[in-house]
Amino acid sequence: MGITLTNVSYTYQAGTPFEGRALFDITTTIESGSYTAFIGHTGSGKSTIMQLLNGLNLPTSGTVFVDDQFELTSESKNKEIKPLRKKVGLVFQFPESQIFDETVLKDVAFGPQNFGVSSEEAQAIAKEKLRLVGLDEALFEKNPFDLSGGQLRRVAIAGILAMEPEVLVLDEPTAGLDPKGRKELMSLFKQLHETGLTIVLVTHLMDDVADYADAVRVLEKGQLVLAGSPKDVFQQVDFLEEKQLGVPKITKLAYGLKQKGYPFESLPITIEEFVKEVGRG
Amino acid sequence: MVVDKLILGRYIPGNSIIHRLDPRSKLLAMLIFILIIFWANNLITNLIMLIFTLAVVLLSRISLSFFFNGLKPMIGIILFTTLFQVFFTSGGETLFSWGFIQVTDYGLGQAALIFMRFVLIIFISTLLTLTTMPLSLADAVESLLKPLEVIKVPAHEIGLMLSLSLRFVPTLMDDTTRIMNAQRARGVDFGEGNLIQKIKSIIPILIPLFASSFKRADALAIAMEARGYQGGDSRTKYRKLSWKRADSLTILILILLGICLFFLKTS
Repeated sequence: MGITLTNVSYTYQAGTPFEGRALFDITTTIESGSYTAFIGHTGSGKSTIMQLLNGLNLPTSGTVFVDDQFELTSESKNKEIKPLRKKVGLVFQFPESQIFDETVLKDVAFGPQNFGVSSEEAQAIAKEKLRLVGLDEALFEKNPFDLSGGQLRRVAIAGILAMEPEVLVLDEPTAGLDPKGRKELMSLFKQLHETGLTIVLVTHLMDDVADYADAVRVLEKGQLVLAGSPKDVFQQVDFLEEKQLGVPKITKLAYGLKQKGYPFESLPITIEEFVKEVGRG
Repeated sequence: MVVDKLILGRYIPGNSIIHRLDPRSKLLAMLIFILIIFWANNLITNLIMLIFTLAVVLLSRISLSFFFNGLKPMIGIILFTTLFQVFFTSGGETLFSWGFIQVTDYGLGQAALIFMRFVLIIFISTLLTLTTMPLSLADAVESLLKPLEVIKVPAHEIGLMLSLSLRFVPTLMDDTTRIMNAQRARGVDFGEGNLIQKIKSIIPILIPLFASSFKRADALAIAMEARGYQGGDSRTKYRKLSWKRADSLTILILILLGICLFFLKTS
């Protein structure tokens, strides 16, 4: 399921003295089945874009097309948007703060039930998704507030997956997790991507972008400044450093070596590539 | 959102005479004003109060539109009460009657009085919040409650709670929007369906909000203890309130106003 933004602008609290423009004339496409990463500074408009993708925010001007089915403009009505919310699942930053039900299972089943799935069916889906995110069966009937932070994060993500979305939008899904938890979650998303899910990742971690994504969009002050594959984007070390975004650690190392005279054909962005390049030379 | 439009409780920076007054004197002055306005019960006393209020409002150099905006959310209550007075007050000369509804000249007078009181009280309290920073208002409450410590009123604790709650109002509003958006992404429709459905759709916001408030309170308490907070005894103050001559003058003017009203009111 692909999403296309054409000339999208977004202004917060338009028409009041407090209005602030967050996005300027963005045109870009998130290909169906891709793993697209959005990077940029805090306040560059990443999260605003995220909420445009499933109609939580409507563009102030311009249009968001989701496949050929949905066309979001400033005039779209809530009734038309609701089916879109099921197709584009949004995992907010620190999603564990949205959990409210008495048991883990009920909370995960909450999403599908809102879209008309019967309670038994929803519970069956919930069980399946909880197993998918790697949560122990013994915890299914527990009160979510007894769980640890890492487990809660999984429950929250399972809650979104239970709606069986075709696009999964993740806003810094690994913020505040330990390295092991981070790695486990990132490989879960990779595995989901391989089963055909379109993934949109908003992150500050360039290493994750290099390791997992197949397309990158760079935002700066509400404008799209760079787009392409991670390999192409991360070649522009000086540009990214100047924008204070940085590049993967290994790319930075290679860049330093190149300046000292090591003949890289192109800068490697993952450790595997680096090893291959160095081994070859 | 509705919340954005609420003018009540907003502070507008400025440097007028009213802005520079001590928050304690402003708070006291408002209390005195609200007490004495009930003595204004004839034309001349009301006129005095109106002139006084307008003079103070002009002194603050804040555009009048802010004050009318402050009236807007209350307009329903004001009209309701006023009309009630007009239609259901008996006594005096009957000007018009239809069934049990009757309009008398006494009723009209009462209605005008009530209307006037509402408007003036709202103007003065809007003036207080527009010209005083919320935090210094909390300081003022603490300082004014100090004498009551003799009868075991925990003045410092009340002041602390006030300033903490004021500080967390915007944070909690952000939290609310964030949680609402997250639940909307999970298919919750807010403000749709019948009353029961509407109430039910609030639960997924309320519970996470309470849970995060508890967590926040816990974290805040620990952070405060770690920084050596042990309660109000022997604490010094960063923001010192200073009572100046203008403040004494303000209180004096209000007391004089009160005396005036007391002698001019019709008993």
